[in-house]
Amino acid sequence: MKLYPDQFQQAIETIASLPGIGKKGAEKLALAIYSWPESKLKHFASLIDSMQHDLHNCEQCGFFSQKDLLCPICSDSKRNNELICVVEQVSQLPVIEKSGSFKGLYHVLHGKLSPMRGIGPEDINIDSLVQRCKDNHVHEVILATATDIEGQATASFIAKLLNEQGINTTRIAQGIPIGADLNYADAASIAMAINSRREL
Amino acid sequence: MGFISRIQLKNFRNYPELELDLEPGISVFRGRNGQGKTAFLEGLGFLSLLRSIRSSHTRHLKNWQSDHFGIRACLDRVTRPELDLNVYYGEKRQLSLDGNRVATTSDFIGVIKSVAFMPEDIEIVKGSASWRRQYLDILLSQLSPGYLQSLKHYQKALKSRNQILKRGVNVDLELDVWDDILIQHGCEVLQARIDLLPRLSQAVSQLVSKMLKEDFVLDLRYNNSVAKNAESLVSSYREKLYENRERDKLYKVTHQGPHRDDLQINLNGRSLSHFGSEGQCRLSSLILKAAAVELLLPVEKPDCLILLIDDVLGELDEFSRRAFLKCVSRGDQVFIACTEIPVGLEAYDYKVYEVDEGRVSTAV
Repeated sequence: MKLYPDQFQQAIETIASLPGIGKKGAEKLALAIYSWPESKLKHFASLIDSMQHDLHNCEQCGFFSQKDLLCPICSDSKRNNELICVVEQVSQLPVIEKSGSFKGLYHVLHGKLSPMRGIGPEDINIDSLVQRCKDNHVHEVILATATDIEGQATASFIAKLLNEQGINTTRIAQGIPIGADLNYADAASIAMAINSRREL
Repeated sequence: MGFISRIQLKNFRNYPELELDLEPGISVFRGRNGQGKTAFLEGLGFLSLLRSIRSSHTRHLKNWQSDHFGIRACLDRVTRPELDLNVYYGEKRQLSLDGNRVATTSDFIGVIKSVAFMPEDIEIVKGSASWRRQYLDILLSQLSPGYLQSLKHYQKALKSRNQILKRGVNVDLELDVWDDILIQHGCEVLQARIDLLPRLSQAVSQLVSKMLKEDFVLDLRYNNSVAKNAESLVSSYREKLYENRERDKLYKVTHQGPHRDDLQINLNGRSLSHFGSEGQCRLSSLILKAAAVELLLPVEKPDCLILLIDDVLGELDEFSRRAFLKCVSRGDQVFIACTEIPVGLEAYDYKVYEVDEGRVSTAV
């Protein structure tokens, strides 16, 4: 039995299709949105609408930019443009940026090599990375792809391509997180931490 | 040192709902055919390995009218607090230890170690090489921490490489990358299997001398498709992959690696599967499984080693049966499924349960 009007039901179903949100949660959110004042509702609708029209991928690094401009990071002249950090997803860029430890530029791949899902080098943002490195005399590329074997394969693939061009590549360190208790670390992380230990 | 003190099955095979208290030592499950004896052992085996001991697909383990199954058990660890194990297979899989979610199967497998003796074990001797690899893999997953993880990584890398071979054009650089990953995890798998062989051979020959009177020399050899000796594993592996790359591209499949290796079993110098009698093959497969028990017993701090014995005792003569029972009676908990109490068991303390149409009761 349908309790809500069709339009509202559709809104619930659309919200439920978002990651991490179930049917009950979607219903709650839809009811909350419905209770907003008209001005807030209109503003929200215009924001969603503008995602499609005003937001683009930065033509240099693949992160978000408005209109056809470069993103704020690529257009910041104070950043070190000889250093590039490669990440898989848009969401990983702010994570590294918030650490404050990196002052170079970024490159977002929008995926990783996954032969089992039919994703090859031409399906992710690799060609533009190589071209960018050649054009801008990049000195070092830091590969911050995932630590699973597809992330590893993606990093090695890019490293092979760039090393052929004489560009240095490095991989971010892997092991025990800061503040984590050694007692609760899994075997693979400990093995990696031991293998990549450094002298004091 | 530990034992399963309580088990609950829900919608598992022909058990809609079962709760049963268990005891350490030997338990015999007696009943007519088709009452659920093997299914009960399968439930215990699933708790240990998260796979069917009868090599059925996991989706076939649930009661056919149900959309999920669950197994819950309490592990009495004697000197340490009890551990609650919970397995749920519905739309999604959920594993937990003491109520804490366990994300990966490799962290759950091995909490309870097990060896299953099943009628289909004869395939280890007579069947295809995959049976023998599976035998080694199940033993090593329980014996060496990290083995299962290496094997899973290897299998994923292998599937990825084969997918690239299927795509076919302009793939050399990608193959280079996946070859590196394949070699890394392939060598971990190979090294573990090669290291196991001398220990396994020793356990087998000790068992043969205990269980058989006649001349019976079982010889095990690991047929390695990438390297002749273990010293140059990485470099030989790399050379082999490079040598065969054009052939691999042509047939669109990876021709060498641990997934193509075999465990060669010879009896008195001749291939057992080709020249052995039915009886010799059965006996040898039983000895191989008993050797797994010997290797799993001395593992440090064993949480619990359970042995699941389904209808294999009838094939042994009295002398071999007594020797076999002596070997398996050392498990923390031994579950025997049978239609009649096996001869030779009277020398041990055991408890009898009657199995009837998916219900289990203590025999009086």
